[in-house]
Amino acid sequence: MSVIVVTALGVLMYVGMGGINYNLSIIADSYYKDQNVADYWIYGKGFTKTDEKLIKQIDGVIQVQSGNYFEAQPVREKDVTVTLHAIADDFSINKPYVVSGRLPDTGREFALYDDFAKKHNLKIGDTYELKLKDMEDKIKLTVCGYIRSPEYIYNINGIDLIPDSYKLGYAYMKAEALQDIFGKNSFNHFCVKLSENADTEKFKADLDEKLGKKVASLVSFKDNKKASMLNDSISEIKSVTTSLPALFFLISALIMFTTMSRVIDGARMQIGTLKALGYGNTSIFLYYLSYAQAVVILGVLLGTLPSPLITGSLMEVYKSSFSLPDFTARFSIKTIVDSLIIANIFCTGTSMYICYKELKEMPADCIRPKQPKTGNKNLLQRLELVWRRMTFTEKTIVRNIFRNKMRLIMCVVGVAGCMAIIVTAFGMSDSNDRFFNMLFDKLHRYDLQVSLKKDITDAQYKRIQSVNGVGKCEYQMEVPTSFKNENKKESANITVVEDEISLMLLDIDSDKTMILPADGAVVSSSLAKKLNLHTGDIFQAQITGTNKIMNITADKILKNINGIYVGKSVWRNLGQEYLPTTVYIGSGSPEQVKKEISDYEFVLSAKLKGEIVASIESQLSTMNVMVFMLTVFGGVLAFVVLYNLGIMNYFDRIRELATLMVLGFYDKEIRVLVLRENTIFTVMGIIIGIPLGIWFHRYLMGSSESAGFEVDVYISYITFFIAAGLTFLFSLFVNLLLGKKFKEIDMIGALKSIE
Amino acid sequence: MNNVIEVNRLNREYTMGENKIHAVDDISFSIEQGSFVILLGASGAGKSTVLNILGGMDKPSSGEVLVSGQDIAKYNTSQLTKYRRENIGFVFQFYNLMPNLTVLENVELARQICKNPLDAGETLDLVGLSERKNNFPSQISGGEQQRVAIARALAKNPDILLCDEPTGALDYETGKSILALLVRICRESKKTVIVVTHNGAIAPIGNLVIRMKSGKVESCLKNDQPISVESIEW
Repeated sequence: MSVIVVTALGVLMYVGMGGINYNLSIIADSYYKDQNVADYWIYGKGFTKTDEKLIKQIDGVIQVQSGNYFEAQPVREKDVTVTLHAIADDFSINKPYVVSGRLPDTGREFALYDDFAKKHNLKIGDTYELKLKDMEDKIKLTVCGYIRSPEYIYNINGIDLIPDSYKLGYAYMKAEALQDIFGKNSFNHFCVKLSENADTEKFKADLDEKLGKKVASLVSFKDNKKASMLNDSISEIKSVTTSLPALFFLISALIMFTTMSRVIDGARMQIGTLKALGYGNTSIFLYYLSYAQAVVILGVLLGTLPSPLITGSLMEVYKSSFSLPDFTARFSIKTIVDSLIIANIFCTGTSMYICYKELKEMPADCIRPKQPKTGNKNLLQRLELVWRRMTFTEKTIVRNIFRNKMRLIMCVVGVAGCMAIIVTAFGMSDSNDRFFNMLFDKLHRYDLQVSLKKDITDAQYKRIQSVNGVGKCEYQMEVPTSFKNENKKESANITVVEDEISLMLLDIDSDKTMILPADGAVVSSSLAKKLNLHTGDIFQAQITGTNKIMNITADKILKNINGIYVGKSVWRNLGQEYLPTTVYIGSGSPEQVKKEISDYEFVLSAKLKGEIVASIESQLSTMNVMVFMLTVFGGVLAFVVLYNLGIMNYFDRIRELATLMVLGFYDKEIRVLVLRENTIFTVMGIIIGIPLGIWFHRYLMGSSESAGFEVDVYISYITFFIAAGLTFLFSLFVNLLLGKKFKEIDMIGALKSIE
Repeated sequence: MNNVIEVNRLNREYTMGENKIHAVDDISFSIEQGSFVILLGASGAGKSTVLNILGGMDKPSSGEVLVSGQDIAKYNTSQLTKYRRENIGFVFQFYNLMPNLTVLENVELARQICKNPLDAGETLDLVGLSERKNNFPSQISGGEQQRVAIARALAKNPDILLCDEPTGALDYETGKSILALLVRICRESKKTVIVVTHNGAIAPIGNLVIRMKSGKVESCLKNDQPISVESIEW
């Protein structure tokens, strides 16, 4: 029965998607708890154990862990970064999750990030030599275990937006391992855990008081995106995972409504007889209620069983971006119970309503067949001119459409829903495609993107410029910062660029070059939204790791950028040093330049624009999976609705159809009569589905953000055609199936009985 | 007058599991053009089955059914549809009108598929329902509905009019007026009318009475002096 199918679908989506939320939340919470992730990271220089004791004395602090944190690289691969964490005492805060092997016991070993180790072919027991970056010192340690760290759930560095576990790795070791280099009682970071209701402002003030200048930066859990990104993702998908299933539940309720009406209508005779025999209303009521309940339970069961497939596949997507502990997705009992309740409200609720209405009648009335609805003049008929010109087939069709308003609404809604879903699905892919195309056509105009070490000298800058084939060079510096306006806080990057840029543009409307504002910053629209900034407003910025607060004017607000941009003159006027670590190069022969530049020891990496585009495009493949899934769902929805209603219509009209057969109408003519209606519904549904789809798409795009960008809502014309085409296809398929059924009408049997 | 219908050794059996049921068991009869035929029998006698076969709605298991010289027993589905379309007018016990078409439209519906139809308005006049032209079936009485059904069957201008218990759902008076109408049509337009019924009292109005029992023809009697409908009572 179709009610079961649609309910099952709704439940499937709800439980499947809700399962993601549930499981991810569980994982996030338990992972953070089990590994005791820090509340604050304090960075600085020359910290000692005494400092650690001082911190411990601050109100609200329950745990402090000290360590040295340093970046290293495999000796010959300078664009690979391994972040070393040399921890004093035990690994109590930010405890690494052991995948295999164990945590280090001595200073001769370390535990490596498992993905990184696998990519570099490092097995437990191997020795691995690393050279500390910007220094000559090398260390050689034995791999004692594979781990994953809660500090690095989202493994990115400042520039790249996508985790790369070949280029970025980390290792945890005992402080003794780096003692030779840093000394016994010298640390450069603390991890702090506060009690539940500690006063964070007071903590910060106390910390400043006790350690003052020694503290270079203080990063909270929330600001540390590498650790907290998971939570952000979870809240992002919430809107999608609730609205889609809601749509399905609604449709299933409607179908349940019509189906139950039909069932109960059909059983009028029996109901009347039962009542005449003396059965009370209650027992009849309960009978139909139990029937509805059975349907609901079946539907919930059917939907829950395959839901792990959905949860599983979406989980895989998350697993590939986030570094999470091994786990098996569990059923969320709460979600299942929720869906049971919701399905009950919709389905059993409507059944109860219908039951109640029918049972109010007297037994005698029930036994008599229901008076057929009076045909009445409908809208079209009032247009006499049109009406007169129509053939009987057309008149019958029109009259039949309006005979049952509920069926009309249901069919149209079902088709419109399908259309809307497909439009949304393709629209999402359209919007993203267009966005990225525009990004790389209009904004990224460079040929090469080169990342440099910090502390580069002027001579080295000049060397880059003098490489054969290098045309324009534009430098850029990224500074992680936290911004504040009114009482809203957000963290993002300040990107300091040349005063006039042409290779990496910010505004799609700018021509060839863009001049940065002389006094102020260009702010991204999504940041502006979060901070409630308007053009001309002044907001505060505090560079992560410093105490200085700068006031910046939001001179311009643009979409399609991330964070804020300032020209280097403005930057210098704010009292900051301009130390660019990225350079965009325009070149006629980028591969050549890349080959030559990559060897320079102060160059960390050189990427061709093509490589960058390719890596982002691979992100889009997950989008295609979603589009496909949604399309299938939409199709099933349309199919189920149309088929179900078609079948109901068929049963209702079987006498009419048999009569027509007796009168001598050909099969084809009869089929046209009934199936033409479906076609009309499909067309109506498609027309209504268009604005519905646009609205739904806008809603979904608005509530999700891809990496802090505000993606423009865009749907290409082709999408509408595809969506309409697909919807039509589904409808035709239904017609085909129904048409087959007509061949089986038994004329004689149909006409004998009276309902 | 020639035989418009000739039935030779007609058989219709149903197999239900292991039992074979002979609904119509090796019957033969013939009907002349323009007769008013009463096909009589108790429930289960097989009369409706015969009617259905004559009407091209059912296929016999064996035997010949010659209608105007053509053996319809050999027709396939689409030939039967054509046969029904052009040669037969059927009146059901339960009227079976299109509920969402008006009375006039119901009749015109039948005309749409015919080669040589009668005018809808005139047919309605014939059955006495001109005033109800624009009403819907749910707005008129049972007798009026049956008359519409007859008009619909008539409008097709068929050679043969088949009526399956046409008065079964009607009261005594209305039933009689329907029968009178059918007789009048038969006489005036010289069409062959076959009425199936279980009501023996009706028999005298026909000029051919075929009695059936248990799938066989008990008797097939001509009646050269049929009596008028008003004088019979049941």
